[in-house]
Amino acid sequence: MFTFDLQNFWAGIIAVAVLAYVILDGFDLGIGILFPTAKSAFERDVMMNSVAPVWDGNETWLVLGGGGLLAAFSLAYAVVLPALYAPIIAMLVGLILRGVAFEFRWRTARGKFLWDWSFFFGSVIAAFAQGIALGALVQGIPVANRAYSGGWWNWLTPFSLLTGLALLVGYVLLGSTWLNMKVTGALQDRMRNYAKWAAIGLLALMGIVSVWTPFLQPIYFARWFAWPAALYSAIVPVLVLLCAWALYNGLKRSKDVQPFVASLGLFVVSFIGLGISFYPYIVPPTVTIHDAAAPVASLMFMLPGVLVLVPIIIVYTAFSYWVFRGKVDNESGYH
Amino acid sequence: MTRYQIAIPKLGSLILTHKIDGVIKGLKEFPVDARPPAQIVFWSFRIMVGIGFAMLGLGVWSLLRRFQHEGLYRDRWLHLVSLVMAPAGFVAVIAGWITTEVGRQPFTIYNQLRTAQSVAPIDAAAVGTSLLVFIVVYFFVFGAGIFYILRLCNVAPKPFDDMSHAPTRSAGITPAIALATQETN
Repeated sequence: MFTFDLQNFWAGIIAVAVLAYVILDGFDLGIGILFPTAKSAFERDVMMNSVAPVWDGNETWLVLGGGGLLAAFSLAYAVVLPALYAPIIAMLVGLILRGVAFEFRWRTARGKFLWDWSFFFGSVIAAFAQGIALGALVQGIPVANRAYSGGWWNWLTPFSLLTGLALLVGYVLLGSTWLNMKVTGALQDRMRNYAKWAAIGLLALMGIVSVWTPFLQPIYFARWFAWPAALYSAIVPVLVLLCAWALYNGLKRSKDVQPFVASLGLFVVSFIGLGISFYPYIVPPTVTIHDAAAPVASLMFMLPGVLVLVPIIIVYTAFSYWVFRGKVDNESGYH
Repeated sequence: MTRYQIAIPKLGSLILTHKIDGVIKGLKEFPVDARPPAQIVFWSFRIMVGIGFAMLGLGVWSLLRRFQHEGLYRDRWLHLVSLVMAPAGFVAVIAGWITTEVGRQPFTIYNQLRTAQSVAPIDAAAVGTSLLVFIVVYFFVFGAGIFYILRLCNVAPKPFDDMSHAPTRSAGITPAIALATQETN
């Protein structure tokens, strides 16, 4: 069923980049979505400072995912981007609006509220658009003659709106558990409470999406319900329950780190579940990883660059998280 | 037709063909459907290079003043020209970008893929809407950015800014509080 070759290896690199993007930018987008819940200007500063040193590094994984897709799977790139044109443009606009807010809100006292709202709306737009794009990809993209053959509103369906909402709630969970880990006092208590509600909402939405997905394409149905493949796939719901339990347990016992790690686990397991549905397709239901792959010479040419650079990026990213570990202390001003 | 020029022999050949005596074909030797719009490239290239030399000149000028006692701080004209030249780098980069992107037309990949062939099958209405959205967002974001930059220019530098409460980002230091409080003064 699965063979280890250059094409699959590249698909793995891109999958890792996309997953890294989703979980890393996920929590700082979540903080943007949670921004209006802050009770004071001080709380807003603390929330933003908790991600200020890392947020732009988080977003660079999107560049690796998108750039890698263009270089290694040009056909998938050429089909997916026109198909998801509207949500992807909306996502970019959202990321611009929230990105400048990090810089501009410190430049003004009078206009600060403008950038607070820009941070909130930008984050909501980006998160919702990403979820819609995911749903539109999962439900299948029509391809004819190696080009997108659908209409301009194909991405907009009840299913894609549902995945949009699910990702929005999922990012709220990541953001609130991140803040639970990074802040103290009343803000932390509130975030723990939000995390509880976000977790319940996310699990419910994940349940609906999981039940709906197998009926979108016959290939998904076979993956999840045909014997004996279903035997392996059944590990996924078990892992989801395990993460959910760890999350519940961590929140109940007021742990700092455990809820965030458990939330990351939920995302990783969901992503693996998605991979199980997808494989060997990169653009369901017709384009496989091997169909879309660039010539072996191109893949080989790019491989050394990725194998050297990605570990370096991972090391310095880990180092920057290590430097900024622990609670945000707004008095010391390191941020 | 360029009527006046200062020419360096062989340099163009070296840059374009990587040979000291390579042949550079004139534009008219290419078929009409393989020529870029020359007018735009003509001007954008000259704007880029002109600004480049103006920046070089400004650098030499300030270096000469630097050798004089306090000359750098006393030359009023140097200060004014520096001020006027502030956006020059941005303009030069845009002009250079226009030169490469217009100059490569009508190809996306030279002799392999034409721009007309590589264009994505996206509805004109969708592209038009996204262009409009980007124009609006960029006016908003760049407008605010230019406003804050100008305000930053308007504040005289202090020998020491107390930045202990300002958020300092990994990319640099941000003297934020000093600025934010300017408004209320």
